[in-house]
Amino acid sequence: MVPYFFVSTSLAKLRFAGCLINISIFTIGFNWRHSNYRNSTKISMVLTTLKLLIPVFIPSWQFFNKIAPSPRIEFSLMATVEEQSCQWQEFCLRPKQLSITSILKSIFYNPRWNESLFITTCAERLITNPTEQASQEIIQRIKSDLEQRQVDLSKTPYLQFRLVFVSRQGSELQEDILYISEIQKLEEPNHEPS
Amino acid sequence: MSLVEAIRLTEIFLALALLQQSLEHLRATQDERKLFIPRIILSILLLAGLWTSWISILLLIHSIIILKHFDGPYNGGSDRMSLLILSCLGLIHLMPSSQLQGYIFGYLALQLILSYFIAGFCKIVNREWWSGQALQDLFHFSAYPASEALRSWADHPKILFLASWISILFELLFPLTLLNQDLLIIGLLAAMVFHLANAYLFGLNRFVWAWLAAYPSLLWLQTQLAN
Repeated sequence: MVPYFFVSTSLAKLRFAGCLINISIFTIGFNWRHSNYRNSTKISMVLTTLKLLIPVFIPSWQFFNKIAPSPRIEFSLMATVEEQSCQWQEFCLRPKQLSITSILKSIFYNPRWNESLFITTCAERLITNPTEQASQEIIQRIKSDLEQRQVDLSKTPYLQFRLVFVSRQGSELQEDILYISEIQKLEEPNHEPS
Repeated sequence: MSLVEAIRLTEIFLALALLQQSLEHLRATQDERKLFIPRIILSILLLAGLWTSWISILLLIHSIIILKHFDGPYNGGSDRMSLLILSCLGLIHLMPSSQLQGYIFGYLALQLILSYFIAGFCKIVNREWWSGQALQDLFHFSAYPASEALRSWADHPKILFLASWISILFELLFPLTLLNQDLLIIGLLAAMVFHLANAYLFGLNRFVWAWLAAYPSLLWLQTQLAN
């Protein structure tokens, strides 16, 4: 009785897990199909999900093995679409200095910095495997930051960003502009906390 | 430490790690907040030890949805480790025998050892790590230093040379800590100091909690090897 119950419970769990995985793949697929960014077949959807999952089961664990060129995100606010971006400012969430209290707190709660690392990942993805999603993530987070700082955008409602990659050449630092985004119109701030 | 105790301890630490990660997203946009609220509820249930097998599976599926939402990991290695632990826990609960559960839990311990050893191996084959130049570059121009003030560490090449070799040797020698339980405890304490230093210098706080959650698997594996 006990082994039968044990086996049947395990089988029930397997069936339940199978159903949930099907539902989640369907949900991902449904959202994906209605997304503005991509329009793909069911097979490629499953393959993409697998592509995301395989590194989870067989991780590479290569941390800082090579210090690659590092991206800086710079943005410019413009009055019109025709205007040429000239006043670039760095989008940087790095503080100048951290107090002991901030350091201790950051071990438990460090949302702003982790967001900054995610934006850096998006910048790297835009070069290695460009997607509209990576570009939109950067734009959304610049917009959120502008809203948070209550920057007056009424005279400069257009935004453009670029990626400047910093690397070391001998003893000198070199900067290369590897990506310039399309110009985006900023919407009215909705005062959404970010 | 028995398998059941080690699995429960892993669940507790993982629940805390997932809670820590999810709470950080509550200051984000409304869509992102909505995405992480179910994870907070599920993590609390896992922490409380309620319906752990179902909750582990639900957390795994929810994590796949999050992975898709961000088109990959949000926080690189720490997300990968959390997902690996979650996948192993999910699979463990689906296994019909404790022997199979042990194999999966052992795989998690093996990946934990590899996480240090491979990181060390990749550094030792790179000449820039031998001289401390890689760490200097990391502080000088990479996106990682957690404050502008920390960039000044790039001006201390001797300290960075020493830090490079301490880091390489620690990571490469970590598998040897399996030889003895006392040695393993010392190794894990040293590893925690290493992760806390990374949290201070590079703001990699999520790594501290994600890696901590995998430690019970290694303590369990060492007990099995010793027996």
